[in-house]
Amino acid sequence: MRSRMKIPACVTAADLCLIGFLFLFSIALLTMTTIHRRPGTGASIETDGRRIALLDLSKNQVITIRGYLGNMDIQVQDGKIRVSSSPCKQKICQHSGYRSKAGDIIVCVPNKIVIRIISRNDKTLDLITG
Amino acid sequence: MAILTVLGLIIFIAESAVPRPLPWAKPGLSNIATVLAIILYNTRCSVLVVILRVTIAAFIFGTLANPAFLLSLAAGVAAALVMGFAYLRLRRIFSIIGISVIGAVIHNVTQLVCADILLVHNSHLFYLLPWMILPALASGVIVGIITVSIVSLLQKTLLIVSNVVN
Repeated sequence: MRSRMKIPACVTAADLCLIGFLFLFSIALLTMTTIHRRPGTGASIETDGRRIALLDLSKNQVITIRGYLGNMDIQVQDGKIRVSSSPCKQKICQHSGYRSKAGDIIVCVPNKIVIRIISRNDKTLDLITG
Repeated sequence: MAILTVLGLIIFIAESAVPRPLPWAKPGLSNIATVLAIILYNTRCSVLVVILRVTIAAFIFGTLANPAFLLSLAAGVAAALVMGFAYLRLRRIFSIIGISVIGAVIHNVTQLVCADILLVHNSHLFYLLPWMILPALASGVIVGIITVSIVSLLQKTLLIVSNVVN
């Protein structure tokens, strides 16, 4: 049963508050994750939450990882890492390009692979938020 | 109600043909159909529209067995439910645009959360949260504006939709 309450068609104050809040929240999150940029020293390759490989970013190399969908090539070059080929359809992981900062991640969801850049100091933590 | 499903489908197929600068950020214009369903009918109808649209679209594009299909389904249904709730209880505070924004944000955040829990098991995905919320804000506003236009058009021409006030 529909109540008699009406819904406004024009933007209300609450709308603007909501949008403003979400916007500021996102910006805050974004700055928090980007100002703590230290160059990464290693890359942790993980699937299903467990690590399957740990790469040293100072060694140029190309490795092949077996993911859920198939083989994926990961290349380390000049301290940066990228996915050079992937069996997924959309290739979002490939289009992420090179990553080198601590805390960066490259994800291939269909292949279930996560590549996390970590820095020398902490093996498991790459970002400590205050 | 079938009209709305078809509408949502057509919009979705049309926007899939356009190349996207941000590959994961689909312009959520098919949500226009979802919001319209909530306003013109009720939440249950809206959820039905979402399920049908997502399923048929997956059928057409051949992505039924894809994890992305379940993701879209979960996200769309969650968005429809939350929007329905907002419409029911919070109508006085939020406008149609506000409800669209809520829906869009819930849609994207649900996708992130589900991908995190079910597929990738990595809680560092929240780094991607701003990248999900910001496009959702834009998309929500656009969907809201278009929906408002459609609704006022319906009001003027067909003299229905008595529950929207300008």
